[in-house]
Amino acid sequence: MFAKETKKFKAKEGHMKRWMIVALALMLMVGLGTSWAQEERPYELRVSAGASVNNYEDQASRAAEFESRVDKNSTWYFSGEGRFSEKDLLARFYGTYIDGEDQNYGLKVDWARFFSLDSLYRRFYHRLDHDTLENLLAHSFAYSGGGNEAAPGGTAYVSHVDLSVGENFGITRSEWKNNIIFRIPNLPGVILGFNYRYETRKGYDQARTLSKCSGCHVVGMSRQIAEFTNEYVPYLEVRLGTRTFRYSFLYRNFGSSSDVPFNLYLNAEGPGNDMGAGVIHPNHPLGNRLPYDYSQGELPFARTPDSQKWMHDVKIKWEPVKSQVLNLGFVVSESENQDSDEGVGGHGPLYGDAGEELDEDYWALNGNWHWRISRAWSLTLRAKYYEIDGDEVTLHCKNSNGVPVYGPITSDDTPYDPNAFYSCRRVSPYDRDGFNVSLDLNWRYSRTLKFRFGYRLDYVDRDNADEYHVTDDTTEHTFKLGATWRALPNLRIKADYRFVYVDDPELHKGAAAPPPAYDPDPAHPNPDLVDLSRGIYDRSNPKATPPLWTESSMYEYLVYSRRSKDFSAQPEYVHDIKLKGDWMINRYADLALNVRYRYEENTETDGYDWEENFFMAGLNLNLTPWEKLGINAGYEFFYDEYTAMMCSSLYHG
Amino acid sequence: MSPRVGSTCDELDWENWAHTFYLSLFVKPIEKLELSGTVSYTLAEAEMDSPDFSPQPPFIIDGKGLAYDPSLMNDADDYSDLDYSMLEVELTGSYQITKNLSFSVNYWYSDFEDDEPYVYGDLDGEAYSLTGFITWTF
Repeated sequence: MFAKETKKFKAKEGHMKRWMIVALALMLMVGLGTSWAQEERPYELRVSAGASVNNYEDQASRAAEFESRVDKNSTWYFSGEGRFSEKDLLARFYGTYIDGEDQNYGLKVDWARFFSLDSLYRRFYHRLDHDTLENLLAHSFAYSGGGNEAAPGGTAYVSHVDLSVGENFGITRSEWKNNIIFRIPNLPGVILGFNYRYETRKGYDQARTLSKCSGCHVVGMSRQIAEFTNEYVPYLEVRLGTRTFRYSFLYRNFGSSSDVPFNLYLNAEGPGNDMGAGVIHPNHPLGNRLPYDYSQGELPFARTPDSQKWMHDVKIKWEPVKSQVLNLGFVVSESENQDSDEGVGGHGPLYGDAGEELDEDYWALNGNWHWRISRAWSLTLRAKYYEIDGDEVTLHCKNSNGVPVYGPITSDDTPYDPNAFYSCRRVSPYDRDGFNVSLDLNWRYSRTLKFRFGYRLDYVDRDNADEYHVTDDTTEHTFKLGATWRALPNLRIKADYRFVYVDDPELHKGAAAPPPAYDPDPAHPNPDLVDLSRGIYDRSNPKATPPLWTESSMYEYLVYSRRSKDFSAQPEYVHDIKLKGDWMINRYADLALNVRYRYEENTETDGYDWEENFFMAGLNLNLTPWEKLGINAGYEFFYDEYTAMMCSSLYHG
Repeated sequence: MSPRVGSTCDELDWENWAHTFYLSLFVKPIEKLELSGTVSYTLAEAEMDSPDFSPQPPFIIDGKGLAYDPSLMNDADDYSDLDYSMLEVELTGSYQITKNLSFSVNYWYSDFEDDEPYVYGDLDGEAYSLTGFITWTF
C-alpha cells in the first residue's frame, strides 16, 4: 500500500513538473507575443500565474472533501482564457491548473459554421470516508459489554475486522467531453455530429464483505480503483421544413483494471477449524458448505465487471401548424456484463463466474403533443411504453477441483447429505414493462393570474415479483394543481400542489417478523404458537400433524418461510406543496422565499404506518445599495422525519 | 438446546435537520481594487429513537449460556446520532497595477466539526489555502 502511495506521489510530482515547464513556456510566449497581440486585435489573451500555500489539520475528508491541494504545503496556480478570430475561424479557450489533481480546461472552435468543436476536460480528487466498522457494536450480543468481545459464555459475538486501519481513501475522477458538428453547405438542415466522452476513476476506496452470518463477521479492506469509460455517440439530424428527424447511436465501453480484493471467509470460525488450536479439518462434514467455504482459500469480492452498452435512439419532431408540436421517439438498448463468464482466482459462482455473459435489454416508445389552443389555453399530452428484460442464469456451485459445494448451511449438527448439491436459478428483478400517460393544461386567466392542471398515470408490471416477494404491479395516479399570481407589479407568488395515490405500492412481502415458535409461558399455552419439542421433521411430509423438526428444517420452515410482515419504503399517498415568492422591494433590493412541505404515507405495511414528513424553506436577499457594492445573504432550513419498523430476530444464532 | 424462534419489532422515528446560513459580498472601494468574500455555515443534526425491545432470558446451547437479547440494542441509537457543523470562508482581493497587469490574493478556509462520531470515526478537521497570482491581459 505504501509502495503504491509512494509511486502515486512520484507520478504526481513528475506530472507537476511537466505542467510547470508548460506554464513557463506559455508565460514566455505571452511575453514575446505582447507586441504581436497589440498589432493583431482579433487575438485576446489573459494569463494568470501564481502559487499557493496550503495545509490541513486532523481529518481532511470533510473539511476539504474536493480540495486536493491541501495535501501539499505549496502548489502552483495557473489559469488563462482567450479568444482567437481570423476570417471564418473563431476559437475560445480557458483553463485552470490548481494542482495535478485539480484541473479544468475548455475549447470551442467554429469554422464558417461548417465545422464546430466543443471540448471540455476536468479532473478533481474526491476524498472518501473510512468506515471504522465500530457501529457494529450495536448488536444484541456484546453491546452491553461495551466492546467487540464475546458474550457471556463465550459462544457468539459480532466480529468486525478493518484490515486498512488508518488509510485514507479517495478517487481522482477525470472526464473529457467532446462534441463535433459538421454542417454540409449543399444540404442545409443536415447535421452530422459526434459526441465522445472519456472518463477515468483512479484511487482507493473501502470494500466490505461479510459471511453468511452477516453481522457476525464483517471485514473491511482497501480496494484499488482503476476504471475507464469510453462513450461514442455519432448522430444525424435532418430538418425538412416543419419536420425534424434525428438518429443517434451510442456505444459505451466500461473497463476496470482494479485489483480485486480477496477474503478468506470465516477462517477462524469455520466448522472445520479447531478454534484456538488453528487446526483445520478438511473432512469436517460441513467443511465444504457454501457459507463456510474457507477450504477454497481466498475468494474474490467487490469486483466491478467490465461492461458494454449499445443504444439506438430515433426522434421525430413535426410542427404541422405554428401552434402545435408533435414529438415521437423510439429507444432500444442492450447492456452486457462481460465478466460474468470469467472467474477471478478460479471457476464457478464463488469466483464470480456465472458461466455466461449476462445481458439486459430495454426498449421504449414515447411521444408528446403540445397544442397552444388559444392565447389563454395550452395543452400537452405525453405517453410512454417500455420493457426491460434481463437474462436468467443458473448457478452450479463447485469448488476449484470440480467437486460440488453443498449448502446452504443451517446448523452444525445437520447430517451430511452428499446429494444436497447446491444450485439455483436467478432471474432479473428488473424484468418489467410499464407505461405512463399524462395531460397538462395551462390556463392564462388574466395578465396577472395563471393556472396549471395536470394528471399522470403510471403503471408497472414486475415479471419476477413472486421470486423476489414484491408487489406484482403498481398503478400510480398523480394530480397537479398550480397557480402563478403577480399580486403586485413587484411581487410574484407561485404555488403548486401535487397529490399522488399509489394502488399497491411496491413492498417486500414477508420481509420480517416470523411469529413466535415457542410458548414463553407454558402455564398459559397459546394455540397460535408452535411447539418445538415435537420431534423430527420429515421433508417428504412437511405438513405432518403435529409438525416435526430438526434444526435445519426448523429454520427453513419456522423462520424464513413464516416471516409475516410486509414492509415498504414506498408511499401510498403523497401530498406535496410548494410555495415561492419573489419580491422586488425597490431598485436596490429583492427578496425571494421558497417553502416546500411533503407528506408521504403507506398504510399497507404491517404493524405500523410508514410515513415521512419533509420540510424545506429558504430565504434569499440581494442588495445593491451602490453600483460598486453587492451583498447576497440567505438562510436554508431542511427537515426530514422518517418512520420505520426495526425488527430483531429471536433465534439462536 | 433450548430452541427459540420469533421476532420482536419496534416502530422508530429518524429525524434529520439542517440549517445553512450564507453571506456574499462584492465591493469595489476604488477603481483599481476589487474585494469579494463568501461565508457559509451549516449545522446538521440527526437522531433515531431508542429501540424499546423487551428483555429475553439467555438460553443454553452446548451447555453455555448465550446472551442473545434484543434489549441489549436499546441504546443502539447512540450509533445513529449525527451532529455536524461546517464553516467555510473565501476571501478574494484583486488590485489593478497597470492597464494590463493585476495582482490577486485568494484565501480559503474550512472548518468541520463532528460532535457525534458515528460510522466514519471523528471527522473533525480544518484546512486552508492562500493563493497569490498575477494576471496579464492582452
